[in-house]
Amino acid sequence: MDTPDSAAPVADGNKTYNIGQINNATFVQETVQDPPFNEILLDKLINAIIPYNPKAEQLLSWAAGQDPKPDISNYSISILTYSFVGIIGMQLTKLFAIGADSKSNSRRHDYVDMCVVTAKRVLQIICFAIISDLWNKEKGHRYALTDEQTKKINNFFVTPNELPLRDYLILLSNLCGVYAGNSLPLPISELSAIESQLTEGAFFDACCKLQDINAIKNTDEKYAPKNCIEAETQLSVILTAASFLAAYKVVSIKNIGYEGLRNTEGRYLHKYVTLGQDSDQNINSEKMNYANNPINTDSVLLYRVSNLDDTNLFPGVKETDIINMFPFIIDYNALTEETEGVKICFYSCVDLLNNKVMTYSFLDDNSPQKITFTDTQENDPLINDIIKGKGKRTDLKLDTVWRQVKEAKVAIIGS
Amino acid sequence: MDKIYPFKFLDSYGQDDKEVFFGRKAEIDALYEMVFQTSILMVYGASGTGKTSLIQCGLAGRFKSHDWLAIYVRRGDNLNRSLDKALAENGANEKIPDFDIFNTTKTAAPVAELTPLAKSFKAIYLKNFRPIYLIFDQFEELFVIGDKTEQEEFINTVQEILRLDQPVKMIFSMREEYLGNLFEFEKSVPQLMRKKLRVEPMSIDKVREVINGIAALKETSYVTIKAGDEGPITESIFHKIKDKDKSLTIQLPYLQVFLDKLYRSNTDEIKPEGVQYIDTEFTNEAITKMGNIGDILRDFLDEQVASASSKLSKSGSQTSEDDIWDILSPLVTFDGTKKPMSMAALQKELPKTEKPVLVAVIKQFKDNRLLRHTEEGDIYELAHDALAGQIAKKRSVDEKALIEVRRILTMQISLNQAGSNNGMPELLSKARMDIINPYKDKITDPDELALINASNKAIQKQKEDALAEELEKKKKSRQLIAGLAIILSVMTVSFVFSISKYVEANHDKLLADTATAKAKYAETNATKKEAETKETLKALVKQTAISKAKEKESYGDSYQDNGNNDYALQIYKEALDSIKAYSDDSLYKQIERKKNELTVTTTQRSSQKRKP
Repeated sequence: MDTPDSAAPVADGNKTYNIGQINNATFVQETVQDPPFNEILLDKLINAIIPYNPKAEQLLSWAAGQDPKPDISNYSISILTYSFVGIIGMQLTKLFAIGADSKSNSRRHDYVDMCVVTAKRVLQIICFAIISDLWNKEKGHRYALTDEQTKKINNFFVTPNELPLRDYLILLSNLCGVYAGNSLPLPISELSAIESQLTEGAFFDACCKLQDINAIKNTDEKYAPKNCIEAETQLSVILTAASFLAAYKVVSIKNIGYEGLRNTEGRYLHKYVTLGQDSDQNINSEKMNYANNPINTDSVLLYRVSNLDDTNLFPGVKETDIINMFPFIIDYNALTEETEGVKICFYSCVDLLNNKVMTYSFLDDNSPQKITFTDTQENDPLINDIIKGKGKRTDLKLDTVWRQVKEAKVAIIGS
Repeated sequence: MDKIYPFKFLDSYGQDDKEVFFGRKAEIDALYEMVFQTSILMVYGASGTGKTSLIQCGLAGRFKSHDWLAIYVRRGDNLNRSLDKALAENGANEKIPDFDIFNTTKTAAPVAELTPLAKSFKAIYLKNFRPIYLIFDQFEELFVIGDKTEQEEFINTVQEILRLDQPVKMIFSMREEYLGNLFEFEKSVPQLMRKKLRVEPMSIDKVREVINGIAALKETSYVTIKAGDEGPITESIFHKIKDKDKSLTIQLPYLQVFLDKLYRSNTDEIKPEGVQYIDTEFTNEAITKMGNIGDILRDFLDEQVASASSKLSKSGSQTSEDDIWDILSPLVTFDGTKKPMSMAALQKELPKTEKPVLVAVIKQFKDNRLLRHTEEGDIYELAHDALAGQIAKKRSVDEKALIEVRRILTMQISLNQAGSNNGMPELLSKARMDIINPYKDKITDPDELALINASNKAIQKQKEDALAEELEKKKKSRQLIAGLAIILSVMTVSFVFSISKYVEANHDKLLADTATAKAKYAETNATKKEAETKETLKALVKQTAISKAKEKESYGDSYQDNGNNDYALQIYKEALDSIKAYSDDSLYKQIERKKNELTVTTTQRSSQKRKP
């Protein structure tokens, strides 16, 4: 017969009893209860996106008029997952999947981790958008940066480990400072609403608390239900503040073709993937679009839309309002000429020992994707052989990723 | 802390086994990368290379549970129904939230317009919020056991799934020797083989990864390997399993069976009663002691069969090893792959085997982990295709023939049930029945017997009809011949009659002619004779005249000689007169010359006399 110390926890309904360590004094303490995942998040966010998605208001209005009050969680989830800019929408989908997976042994761990990752992705998108925009602006004019700003931005480009959540918050604060200091309009205008909360206030507190909860996994402690609840709460604060991202979309440009038959107007055929989920619960839908002008190949483009249900490319969007997130967000599949599927990776860090290696973080599982600079030259006399070979073409493109990160750094901070 | 027994024998590795799944890191990485590059992926390899484990354990281990919803689909009786069932189990039939309730903009596709399949996947996704991975394991069964109708329906389903924008990916796992069967599939789904991964047999490097992995488990495992011994142990195991074979790889099932066998040989004699596992160390010495391995799997199976036979015999049921092989045979297809069977189906296949014997054998093989049992449907299945291959080799020629017979019958019954041949049930041809009939007595399935009997009846009827037709033909032929003969006879008679009449008719004429001819002949003859007589007479007359003329010539010559020219001349004239009809005769000419000469002479004399 197993001894009490080695007895496995016993589940009964939604309660788990660690009977191995149970005694009278600890009985209450040891009785654990799985928290109701995502309730807070759903409630906060569905209300937060009302300005950006009319369906949210329609749903809430309809629900308010019903008696008894219906369970609108399924509807809310469906609306939320496609509302937020694709990348964040996918993160929310994972959160909801974790919440729905009651059989998972690592549910709490996964949930807290996912909350932290989601919050970080939000900050990363905003930071990358600003850095991209600033880089564009710096090409024509060198803007003044304070030492602190230079230091923080430099840190972003040279960090050997991915910046934690709080550091992205600091980076964002400094980037906004650059814009403010140079009287530049922020590329994401809605950011001005939370600018004041980047160093203190609800948004700042939420990021810090989330990071603190995440630090538990580096100890011997395990996540408790209260950690899950707190993580969810802080994330809802962050996402509510960043709910303007519900008005944005991200697309990955897979391929651009050109058609120009004799006596016809030449035109470009863009093959792109709308990242994330759409209103039909389709994920990463591949689409095609004819246009008179080309756009950057292998780019990941962020832009604001007025109608989330419009799946056309850049519907009513000015070219100047489109932010190219490359090379900070890349579609690794597009760069390696994989015609199907997307592999979205976020810039993470550079290798400490080898300056020619950068690490990106694969969005789906946060696994590292290395980009190694091979110095494959376009002006190589054997350029024909290079272009013919898929491996060499890929090396050329990945070299471009590496170079452009370096160029962006130089352009923004001057070294 | 619970220790792990790191060997799975012939069972495939599942998601809970990722801590003991070694030797496939490169394949897992490649597979994981590919699933983000395609909606449809093929994993193939020889039997026993670990395709199922690679997906169920290796790939599954790379995903967090919230990142994928793996729906494993294994063909039962029909792959399409199995897919339907698997989808239903994952929420396909759950209600999809109807956005039309509050949706005033109505931009989302109405649920009512979705196809049943689209609805299924939407429902599953909305229940789980995870990308769906349909994993079709042992996919070759669709072609080995399934029929054309089933295959076509499945292809259509795959095409429809690919048209969905829903997050559904499909992974097919199959034995590489059946890749050729995908020809039609690939024509309909060109991207089928675009992304594929071949699972190679175990090279020594892979075996080294396995041994290193086991060694790294250290105290968490019942099996330990001393640091530094990993290399030599790898070499020993690899070469022992490889034996004399020059191949650079070994078969994974052999490795799995060997490692399990090695553990048991280390521990069986020292393990306390009732304890399943104890700690042991793998050493080179222990491996060397194992002796010659030979064909591990074959030997292992032979041992199990011998053991089962022995056990049953001891319990009073005389069951030979051949009987055991016969019991195992229905669990293997004709092609030597696994064939899941329910107990009921096994009993039907083996009517001559007593049920207690059958149950006892199945139980023993299940206890020895050579058979797997699924509660649902009471299905038994060999633990591995490698075992199926070994069992297939044991089949007698007769048994193989019987299996082929059963396959022909089953296929035809399926076709008839599917309504091929425009709904008309098709029977078997004579050529096929010639193969089947010698084994008719061994067929017990009523449908198969019905088909055999109906086919034989049809063939018999065909024979009889053919015979009748032939008889009819012969009869007609005889009639014809008789008729012809009659006609011919009549004609002959007529002909003869005609001829005879003709002859008769011409007979008189003929006679007449003959007579005439005779007469003529006679006349001719007579004439001829007369002529001849005349000629003869003529000749005689001439001859007589000539003779007389000659005589007269001679008288004339005499007269002349005597000077009696006148008399000579006279004679000569008489002679000439006598033969003047023969003036061309030389005598005539001679006499005439003489006469002329005499005449001249005489004239001259006369002249001389008158001259005074």
